[in-house]
Amino acid sequence: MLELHIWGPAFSLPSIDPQCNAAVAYLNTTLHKDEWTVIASSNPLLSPTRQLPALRDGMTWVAGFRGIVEHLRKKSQGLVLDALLSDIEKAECTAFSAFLETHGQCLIDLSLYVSAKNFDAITRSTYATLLPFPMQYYTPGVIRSQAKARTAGLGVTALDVDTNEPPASAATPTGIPHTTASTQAQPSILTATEGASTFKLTGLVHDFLQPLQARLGSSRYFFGSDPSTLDCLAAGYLSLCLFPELPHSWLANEMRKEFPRMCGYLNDIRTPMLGKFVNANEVLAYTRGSSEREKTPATELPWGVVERGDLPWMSGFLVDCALDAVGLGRGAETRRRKLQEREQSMDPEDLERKRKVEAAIRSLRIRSVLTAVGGVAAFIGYCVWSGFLQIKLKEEVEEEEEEEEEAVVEVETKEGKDGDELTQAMIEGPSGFGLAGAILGLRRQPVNPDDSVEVEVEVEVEHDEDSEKHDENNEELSPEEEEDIANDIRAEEDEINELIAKDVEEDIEGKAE
Amino acid sequence: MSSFRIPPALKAVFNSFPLLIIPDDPLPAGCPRPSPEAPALYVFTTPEDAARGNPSFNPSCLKWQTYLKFCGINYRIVPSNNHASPSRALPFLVTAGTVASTLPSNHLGKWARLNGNAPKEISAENPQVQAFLSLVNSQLRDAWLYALFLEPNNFYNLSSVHYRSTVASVVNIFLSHQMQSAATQELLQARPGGVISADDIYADAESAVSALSTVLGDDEWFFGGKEPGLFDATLFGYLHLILTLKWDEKEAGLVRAVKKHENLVGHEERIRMKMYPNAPKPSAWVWVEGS
Repeated sequence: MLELHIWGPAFSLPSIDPQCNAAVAYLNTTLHKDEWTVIASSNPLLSPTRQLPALRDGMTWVAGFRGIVEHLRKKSQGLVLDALLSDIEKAECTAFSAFLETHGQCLIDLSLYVSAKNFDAITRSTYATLLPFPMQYYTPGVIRSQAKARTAGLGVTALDVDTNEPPASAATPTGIPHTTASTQAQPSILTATEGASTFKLTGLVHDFLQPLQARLGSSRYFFGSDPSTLDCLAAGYLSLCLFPELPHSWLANEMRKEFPRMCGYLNDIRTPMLGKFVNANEVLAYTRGSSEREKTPATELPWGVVERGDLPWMSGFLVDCALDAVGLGRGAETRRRKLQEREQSMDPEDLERKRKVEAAIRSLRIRSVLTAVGGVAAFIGYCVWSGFLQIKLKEEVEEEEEEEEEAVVEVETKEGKDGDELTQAMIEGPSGFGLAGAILGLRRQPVNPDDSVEVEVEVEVEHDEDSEKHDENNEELSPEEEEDIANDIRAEEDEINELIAKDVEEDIEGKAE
Repeated sequence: MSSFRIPPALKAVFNSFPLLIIPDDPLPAGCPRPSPEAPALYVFTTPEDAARGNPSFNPSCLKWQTYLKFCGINYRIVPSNNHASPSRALPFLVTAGTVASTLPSNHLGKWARLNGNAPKEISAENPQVQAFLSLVNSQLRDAWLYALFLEPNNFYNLSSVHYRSTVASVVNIFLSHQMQSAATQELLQARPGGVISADDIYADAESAVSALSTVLGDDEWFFGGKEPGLFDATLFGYLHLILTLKWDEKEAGLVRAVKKHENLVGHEERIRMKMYPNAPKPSAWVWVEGS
């Protein structure tokens, strides 16, 4: 038993989705009623591609009209359509199918979803009857935004009032002479904008139906007197153009007015392919199993009962979203499986090569990240060097200096008690002033053993002042702390002394040579 | 007026910014100027290929490049990218003369027929042409996008080399990301479920290619035309690139599908020999070494 899962019934048709209708038409034409059932589950999560229609054949799932046709053809179950077509006709069948799918989908998108009037009045509420509680608020919006994305390139945004700016700007460029009308009675925003896009829409309808009508000619089906897959697709797409009763029914009107031949064709094939009239409420009640099982809906189609309730569906949806979000969703999964299969089937040489390519990609990526990091670092470095960031650094430096100066003063004052040592330290050179002195010297001019005397003098003067100033201030420090600091500073002094002594020695040696 | 007085402090601020209308800046020096002799077609291509008159590496650019040649129009090729185009898509054409106008690609056909010798082609209104055109633009195009942008090795070896023209590697990474997500968006438009299956895409492309091969049959040009027309140019845009690009061996489903059909290969060759004698030949391609 084959199970065909589709979007639920609407507009007296088996499904609200053209592909589902086409799949119903195909199975209805090729299979006997006992071989299959159609289930209006309206749950795309059932399908491996998250897309309805989906056909369940035992354990395998096949999705999409083309997939289903291909699956049944391989199985050679039931009647095989298109078998009697010539090669050219088969090619044409493929081409016209693509034509129907792309152009037909656009028109259905425009008429059922993008048009705000139709969507709010009809489509959204129809979906509400098909879907369980939380999904009925979410799914229609998603489908609508997809439809908008598909039709974005056609330039008929005027249909969609949500995104529409003042009506005048939308109406005038297309050149609709609506000036007289607007003076007599203020046309609503809807009529003005939708009227403006009518030209474009009419053009689209003609582009879609003209080639089909020309191909059909006067024959019963597209390819002679027998139905083909193209006829099934046409039944699916065209019936959703013609039969829905909408507040803004430009598509059906245009079709009835300009293409009576197509309407006649559609009326002819509708009953044998899609069944006469589908009472949506009855079917849905039966599908959900709420009415008595015996009372099957009075249609030609073998309707079945949906298995899953609301709760598993909802949780399935949430799990799916979560998996997608962390990159383990269905798309990623199939891709990974494919990669694995491919890797297994590869010979080691290819595998090696592939690894190399991957490594090259990785190294490229790393290199560019490093470039970026290096660039940023260089920029910051430049900022510091050129003085943008100096202010902050200078403050820090000054703070440090002050601290150290204080410390040095401590030492000096202590040393001042025994004057011999102080003079000793002074005679020894700039190092006698400790690290602070070195820094001060550095900041004024480079410490050079040759002109160390000058520096000495300069700093000496400062120091006398400083020491006087600090003598009074720094009596709070305990003798231990003073001792510690003094020791530290002495160690530093020794280091610097050594360095300078070495420098001087080298200098002297250089001169001697 | 009298009730509202501007505080003097605010007035001082306003006065220090006097209203001054500065004349329009001249166009930047690097801005392309229309040449008086020949119209310029802006396409995706490399400067070397543009100088040699070689085909573009973008199917829709190559289509118009070829069709203008069919119409016998003398034009020059300018390497460019999407950001240069007023309609944000290449190709576009800047007509010759002092008052140049810019034509986006959807006006090119009409312009070419008016300004050149329209080839004796089959009318675009023909239902067969329309149907096969949508076959090329849906199934073949999807497979092309998938093979070039979403197959990892092809993307690394081919598209990233072609379409990323900046020197900064960080920008290139960003661009690659952008291109891949754009291709994914494009493919998902026809697949609302959000699952892109490579097998399905290649199978569809294969059936499309064999349908095209069947309808060409033994004819020289499509639909029995006396001269190559817009449809031939459209298909050449894909076939030439599919046949000449250096696809990765494991990701070359598309080229294998085309190579099965000799008449399509012959069709590509006829146009190439006539219009692009310097263009790379399909036989020259070798499998890409991964390095």
